[in-house]
Amino acid sequence: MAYLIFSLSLLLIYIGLAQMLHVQFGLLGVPNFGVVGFWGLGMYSVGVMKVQLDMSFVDSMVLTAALVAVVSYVLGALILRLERQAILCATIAFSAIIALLAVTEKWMTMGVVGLGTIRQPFRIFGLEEILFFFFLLVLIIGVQVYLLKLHKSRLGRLMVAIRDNEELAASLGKNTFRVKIIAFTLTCTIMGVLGGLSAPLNQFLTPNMIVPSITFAVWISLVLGGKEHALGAMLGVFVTFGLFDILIETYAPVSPQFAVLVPNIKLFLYGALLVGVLVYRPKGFLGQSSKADEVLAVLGHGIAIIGSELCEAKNAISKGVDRALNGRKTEDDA
Amino acid sequence: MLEVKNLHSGYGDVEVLHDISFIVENEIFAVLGANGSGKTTLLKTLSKLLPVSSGSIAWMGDDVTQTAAFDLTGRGVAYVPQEHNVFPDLSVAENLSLGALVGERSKKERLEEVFELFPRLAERTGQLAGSLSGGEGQMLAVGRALMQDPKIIFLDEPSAGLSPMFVDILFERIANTRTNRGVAIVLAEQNALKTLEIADRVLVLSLGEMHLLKDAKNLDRNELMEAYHI
Repeated sequence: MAYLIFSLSLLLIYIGLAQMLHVQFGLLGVPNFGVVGFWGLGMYSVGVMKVQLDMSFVDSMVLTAALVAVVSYVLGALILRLERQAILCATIAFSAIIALLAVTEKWMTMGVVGLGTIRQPFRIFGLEEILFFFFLLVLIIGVQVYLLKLHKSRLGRLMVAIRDNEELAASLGKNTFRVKIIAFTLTCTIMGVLGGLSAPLNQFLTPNMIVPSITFAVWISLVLGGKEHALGAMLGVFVTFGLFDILIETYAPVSPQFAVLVPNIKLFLYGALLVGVLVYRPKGFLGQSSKADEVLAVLGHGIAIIGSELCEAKNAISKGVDRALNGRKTEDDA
Repeated sequence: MLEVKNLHSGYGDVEVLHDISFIVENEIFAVLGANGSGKTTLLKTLSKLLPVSSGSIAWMGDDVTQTAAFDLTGRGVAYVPQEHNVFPDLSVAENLSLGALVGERSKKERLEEVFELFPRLAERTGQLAGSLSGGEGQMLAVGRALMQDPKIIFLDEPSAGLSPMFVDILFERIANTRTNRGVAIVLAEQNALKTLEIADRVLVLSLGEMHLLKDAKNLDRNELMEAYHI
């Protein structure tokens, strides 16, 4: 039970990261490939403040949010005027720097030895894990409700306009760079806060937690779910992390001799699913399809043709039968 | 209204416009020239989407040479690019409402005026802009510019890729906008003959330089052909 709650809490953290990436890339067109960097910065920041400085959870979370906000604002100011490929490379580099600092700055992070133990904040009647889960659940639902409203708001439309054509959007009278940097700073800060919330969830932090595979998992989830759809991030994480990592990898009744194959099979299925979606639904499960619609349209047209041919054939046969019967009757009468 | 003095501009180190000077009053001011003459560069520079290398731009008496593009929009300047001039992932209504980010009048009032000018847009409010035909897309782009309640519109080759029927409709609406709403229009075009039907004055560019500037009715056909290197 405890492991299930831990897995579901982690699932919510992933949903939160994918929701933020949806705002950055799906709405605004900023390709952040350093998701794990902001998450890791927040996680280690809370870890250091809790373990090394013995601060309260609330204080460490507030200071962590401020720290990540400053870092992401400075990074955004440096990179958001660049081409998308450059932003992509810069954010990867940022996450690599954070991972490296977690190893090298031993006086603060304890390096590869690891940092812990970070206890969960809601210590009431031994229900801290489940209370923490519900806290995360409320947070993620709140973010989701805001995202649904954002899509229908003027700010949401402006973000899509900036993504589609920033030059044209600038000629509409809005400072597009300001919109980008505010949105980037806010969403990266929330990624950092989610990292901070992951610290008590993991309880013990090691540098090998800050790995690019987390960034890629969040990206794959968003692409599969539908990067431009408000619910795409949530659906994508349910399908990837929820279905494969929790349901199949942890709870599927696989005999011990094949259990070792499950993670590899999971990766294979991940890849196959991603290729299938990119080919047939490039905008994700919830996005508009292109090829799938074409295939369905061709199939529908084919079925309609076959149907009309069958109807004509049936009419011709029934006419022939009628004629034959009538003819026989006439011959009989004669 | 708009005063351009000794303007030099281009892309990075490549200077495209050399020493351009003119004044636009409340009129249809046509910018003609062959491909590569600098028409689009001029309109982008006037809209502040390209930096000015040297020279100055004054709008309504204020020096706007260093003003940002988004700030210029609030002063009554609208720009319609030649290509990629609508937001394809937004609906017609959403595209138009983005135009209303600036201006004092109510969005409803402005929408009614745009729909009166382009009734076809009213029939397609829920349709994604990316799925419109070329002509409808141009109408939407002009409509969105009008939603900004502009005092001047920079129109970059609105007839590009349109059928003759759509070109006639579009130019008629452009002329109406000038006459009925008093909006000055700087119109960059390849279609010289059609443009001369509605333009008050003409600037002809040749290889980024001013070839001639005169009243449209006084423009000699040979002068035009010379500028086009025909």
